[in-house]
Amino acid sequence: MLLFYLSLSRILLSLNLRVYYIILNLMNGQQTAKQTILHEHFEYHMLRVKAASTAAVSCITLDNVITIVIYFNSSFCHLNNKLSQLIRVKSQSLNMDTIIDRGTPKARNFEPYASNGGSIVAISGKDFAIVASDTRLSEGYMIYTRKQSKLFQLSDKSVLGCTGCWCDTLSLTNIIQSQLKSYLYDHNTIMQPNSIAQLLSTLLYSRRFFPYYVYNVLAGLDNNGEGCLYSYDPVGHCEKVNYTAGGSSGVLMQPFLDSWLGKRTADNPVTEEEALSLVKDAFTAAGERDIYTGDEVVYNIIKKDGIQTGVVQLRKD
Amino acid sequence: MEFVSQNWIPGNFKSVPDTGRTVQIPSKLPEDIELSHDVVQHGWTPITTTTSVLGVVFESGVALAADTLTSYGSMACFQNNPRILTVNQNIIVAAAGEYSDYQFIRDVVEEKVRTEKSLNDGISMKPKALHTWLSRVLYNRRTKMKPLWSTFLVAGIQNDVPFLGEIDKLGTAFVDDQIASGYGAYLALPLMRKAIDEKREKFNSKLTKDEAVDLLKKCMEVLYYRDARSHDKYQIGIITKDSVEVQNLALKPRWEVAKLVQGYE
Repeated sequence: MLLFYLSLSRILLSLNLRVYYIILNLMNGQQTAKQTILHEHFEYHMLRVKAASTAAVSCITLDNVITIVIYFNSSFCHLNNKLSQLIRVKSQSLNMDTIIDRGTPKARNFEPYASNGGSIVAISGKDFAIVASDTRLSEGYMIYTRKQSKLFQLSDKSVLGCTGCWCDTLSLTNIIQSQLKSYLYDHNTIMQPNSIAQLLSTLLYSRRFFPYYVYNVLAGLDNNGEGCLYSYDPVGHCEKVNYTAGGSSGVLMQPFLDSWLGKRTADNPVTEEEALSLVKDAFTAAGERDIYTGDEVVYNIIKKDGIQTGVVQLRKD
Repeated sequence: MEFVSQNWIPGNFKSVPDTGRTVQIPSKLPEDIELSHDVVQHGWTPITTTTSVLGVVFESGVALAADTLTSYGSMACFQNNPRILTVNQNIIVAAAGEYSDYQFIRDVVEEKVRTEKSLNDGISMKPKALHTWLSRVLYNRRTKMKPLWSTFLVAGIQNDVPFLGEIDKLGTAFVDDQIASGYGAYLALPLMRKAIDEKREKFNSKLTKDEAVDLLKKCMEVLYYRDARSHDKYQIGIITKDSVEVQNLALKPRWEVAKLVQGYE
């Protein structure tokens, strides 16, 4: 085995290949006994040539027959031939079978994200928070359904609004809800909105390099019974705000909210009636200009004595 | 199904089937095969495809419609491939997209149903459960960038209420009273929405079973005239509280109007 490694490392060295990882499965009787990652040993010998030059080699022993699998990316296919010949020669002397493979298939022309439209508006006040979404779920020029609320009630004190890629939204909200259940059973108390805000940020950032393509707005009542609002980007940046608009019409509605609420001071807080009417106006305006926002608005008003729900009709075209 | 232990990551569930298409590594490579740059790694695109599926909820159940053609590119390759699956007495499922991916899911679902039956506790899967399960399976595979290239319509009765939901290849899942995929979303869905809305506005009621079936037949005809990947033989699956049936039907297309189309001679 050692001999094999040395010869393989020499081959790869002579080809100026950089080996990403080499995994060795040692067979002990019937089942795999241990796995050893040997990349430290190899990287010492390897030269780095091109940034895009990667190859991975795995050796699997099955019934005393050693199989070498070499994974290439496409930029290295010209080396396949040379390397396969070299390894074949070497392995014949070591009585090994060799196989060259160009990698596990991944969908290269597959787009894992969809933009399913929808908008969220949320406003917090002295003793309430209101969060609203439209109910149109669409992709491109196609409306999937006209009655998909994008609000997720996480507890009797917090509601999450999600727009963006609907499949990510479903996954993310399921994970949050299961985490909240765990928290409830562990601590015998519901999670407070500020804690949910941190949880959501951590969850989003956990997928920093394959993000949940979801724009989140978390509305709730904090420990003092005051309305609180957290606005997110898809990779977990979290900001506590007094009002926000997000989703496909976020850029249309945010300036509208800025003009009405941007210069409010603590002695002139926004009232519930005013907030609700602003939400309705924002969505009516957005429905006129954005094809991804329409059909209906559902809103949740979170107050001390519960969550009040309502529906407003929007354009259906 | 075997539960494989693995590290938990978001969106990754332990019981999700993960076989399907992978590279088949031959045990020994023939010496005469040249491995070089002309070995092409094909992209992950559907090969044998099926076209639209339609689904509509009526007063006492749900009806699905799908033709029986599987295309290979533009070739009408397999003309008798049914794709409406009777899961159990509660659920029927129809699929569109890559036919082999549908077959894979069908095998797994059938195994689930067999496992349930062998428990013999009188409990059987309900449509919402299968809808959620499918959404997790498809989302899991899209997250691995190894999608199952299919759209599924799940129809059934849950607690005496008709249920109709769709899941696409990304795991986008939703529920509605009328759903169509592919070309059907452009050509048939407006007809279905119109029929359902008119019935509700005029009579404040849902479609009857016969109206729903007639509506689907009309939609299939419209699709046959304009969707080049459609077929004249199709199936309609109807599920109500008391019955599950899948009818084999054929269109009687009228092409005599075709000669009235001017300008393409």
